[in-house]
Amino acid sequence: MMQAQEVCRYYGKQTVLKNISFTAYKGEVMGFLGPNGAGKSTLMQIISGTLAASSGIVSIAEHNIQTDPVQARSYLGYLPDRPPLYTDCEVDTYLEYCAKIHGVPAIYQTDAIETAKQKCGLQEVGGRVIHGLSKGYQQRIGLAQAIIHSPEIIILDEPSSGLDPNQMIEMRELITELKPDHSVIFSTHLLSEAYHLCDRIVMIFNGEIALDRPINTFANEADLEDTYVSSAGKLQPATVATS
Amino acid sequence: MILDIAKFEISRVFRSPGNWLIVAIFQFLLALIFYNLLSKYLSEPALFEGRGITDAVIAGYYRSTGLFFLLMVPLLTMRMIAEDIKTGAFKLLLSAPLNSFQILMGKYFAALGFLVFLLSIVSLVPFSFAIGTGLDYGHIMACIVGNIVLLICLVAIGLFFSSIFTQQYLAVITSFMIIMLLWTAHSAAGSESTSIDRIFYSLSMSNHFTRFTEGILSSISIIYFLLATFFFLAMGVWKIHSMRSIDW
Repeated sequence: MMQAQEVCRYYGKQTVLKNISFTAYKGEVMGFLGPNGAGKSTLMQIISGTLAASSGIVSIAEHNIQTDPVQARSYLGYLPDRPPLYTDCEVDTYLEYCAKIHGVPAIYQTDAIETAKQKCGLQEVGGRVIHGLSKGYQQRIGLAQAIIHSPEIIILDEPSSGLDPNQMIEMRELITELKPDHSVIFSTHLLSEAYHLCDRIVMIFNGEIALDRPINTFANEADLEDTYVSSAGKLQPATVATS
Repeated sequence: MILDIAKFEISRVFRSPGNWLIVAIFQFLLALIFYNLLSKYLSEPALFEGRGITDAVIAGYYRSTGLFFLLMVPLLTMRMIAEDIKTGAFKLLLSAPLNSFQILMGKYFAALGFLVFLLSIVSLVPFSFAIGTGLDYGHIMACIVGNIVLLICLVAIGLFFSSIFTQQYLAVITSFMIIMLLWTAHSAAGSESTSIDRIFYSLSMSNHFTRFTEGILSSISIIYFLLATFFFLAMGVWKIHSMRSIDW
């Protein structure tokens, strides 16, 4: 379980995130929906431990990510907006390294690599150098590194960006497949993707949560779209911190 | 974890054609210097005033090795963190259950391992003399220790500046400038032996390195290099830790 309480992030006097609070549970796909520049990527970075919050608490399996970062991050798999790849390596070499630094015991590493490759459709390219692969494959490799250690929480920052329609469908199927055993948190600006994938939708505008609702409370995709538009209108443009 | 990072990074260092090119140029130039020193020693022995081959040729060879390392280490270390930050690959390490010390030391030992491997290759040349003549092994060992402590320090400086900049050329220029500043610190000292002059002399990297090539295993010089290493490694750990405070 991941919990964020009153998370804020400032850059100088500009408030990028303001009082973000939520809880993510196992077996749930949680989608953060918002326009570009709303603060989604900043939030993904904060909950993945790659960026510190200015205030507030993020805890993963009851480990505070600020005070107990190594332990907290051991429960996480993170795919940033740009996959964190060493493009001069072969896929297998890269995934083996990811398994090691995520603490997968040596005897389980081969199985972990094979499972991640099988889930992400990478069996055919294990021996290929990453920079020679398409954007779609690179995104899949990024996803494979995020799930290789079977973490409780998987954080995906716009996982389908740059993918063609077929690859987007495959990515969605994979996220659905991951759902039973993990808590999946992902960000997107695509309404249809959020509607078809999520159990719960959190809308972010100007760094604030405008709405946090289960997907079954929306009648259909058009209802989600209407709610999105009306929620966007309720919030003022970027607020300025007084401190 | 440090070992896992080091093994992966060293495989990347060996994989890079650019690094092999640097190594090839390094060895070619050293071979030329060695040939030059040896042919002078054989053709004009009077110039060397009865000094043995270890003192006259091998010590000079190791002095040149150290000078080449001053140029080579920043070129090798510049990409080790800067490139990862630029490509976004560094986020893999930042989101993994690793602390800043493990990340830095993994990369540090990879660079150091590669350079010590290189030093061991270039050391084969002087040891080849053992077939035909007697060598002062103590002097040679002092030269090798001098090069190792120099490398230990230079890699720490190079990695720190690689962690500061996302542009590799800035990392290499800045680390080279700092290395040169430390190397030539003695030239800021005047001819009088005032306390300020002594400070500049004791800060000079070349002064400390020369002691080793003269065959002196100086504990003060070892401490000098270790202190400088510790300082730049601590700064590097602090820099990686502070990366979590900025958006990049």
